[in-house]
Amino acid sequence: MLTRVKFQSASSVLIWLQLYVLVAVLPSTTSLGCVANWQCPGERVCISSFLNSSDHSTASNGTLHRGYCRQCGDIEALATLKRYRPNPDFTCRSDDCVCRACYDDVAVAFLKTTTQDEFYANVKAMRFKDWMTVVLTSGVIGLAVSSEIQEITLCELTRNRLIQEAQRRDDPSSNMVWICLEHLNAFLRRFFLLPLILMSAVSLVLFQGGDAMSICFNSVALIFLLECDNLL
Amino acid sequence: MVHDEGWAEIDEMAADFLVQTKFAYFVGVTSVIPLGILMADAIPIHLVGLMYFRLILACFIFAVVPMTEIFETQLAMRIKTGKRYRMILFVLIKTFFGKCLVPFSIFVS
Repeated sequence: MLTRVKFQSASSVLIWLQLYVLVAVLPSTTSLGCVANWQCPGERVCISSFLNSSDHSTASNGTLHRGYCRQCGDIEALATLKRYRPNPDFTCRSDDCVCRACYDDVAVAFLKTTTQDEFYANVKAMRFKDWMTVVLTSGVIGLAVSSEIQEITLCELTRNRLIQEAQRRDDPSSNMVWICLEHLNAFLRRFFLLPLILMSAVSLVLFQGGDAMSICFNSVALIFLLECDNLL
Repeated sequence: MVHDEGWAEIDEMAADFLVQTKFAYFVGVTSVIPLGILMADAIPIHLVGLMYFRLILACFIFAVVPMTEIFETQLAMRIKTGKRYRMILFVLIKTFFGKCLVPFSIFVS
């Protein structure tokens, strides 16, 4: 009995860890963490939330501040760039990386690209083969999710059997800890873990790009996160 | 987490139920990912804002589990009624209109 409770407790810890990692994966699809511009993909720039607009030059002077990669047209980047008024003679300071990355010398203006534009472009860039990859990986994720649901259902059947056994012995409290933990685990897995997996699958295609290779690798990562509880 | 003897312990009716559950979730999840991408592409983010966009997407995705359970219930009913395709179509149409109401209600409010 004690062993069963220990295993169930370990399962609970593992599920909380899975959820924690998935909650970390989801925002990282839209905004990667960074300390410098070169860490940001594409035309994104590293905007630190700890710095106000006048302090951004200090970030490039050697002090590393954690921030998020943003597009030049995003609200956070615009807040940093609003102090500049571009004109034909305007040049960015050499130590202001955000200004230098976002300023277009030819157009004499800052780039207006936003995360939304990037997301639309990602979907528009998808070709037929990419959509077929989405369909295939959706099927694979669907099978993984349905296996997870099957396991949850089996756990529920086991739980019901244990409740019936406890009632038959007139000792309803004997398996109470295990049953409560199982209730919690089943709820978290069914109504929190699985939707988060699906949400991440969609977000990864939208924000990280919809080419066949990326879709396959991202799906493998999600299935790994989903399947790791089976190791216990 | 599943006991190795779990399969041996369940009876035939529970096994049927499990197969239906698995099928329903497979269909639900396989369709929701491409539909989620298409739906996200159709939403005018510039109008609704990124926060509402994420909310709409979350509502869509998080509603999959209860909707699939409805679908699964309908599948269980088809054994008695024999009207499987009509049942499935009916649930899918209801699900589709239910999802359409989420962005609509946000626009109206």
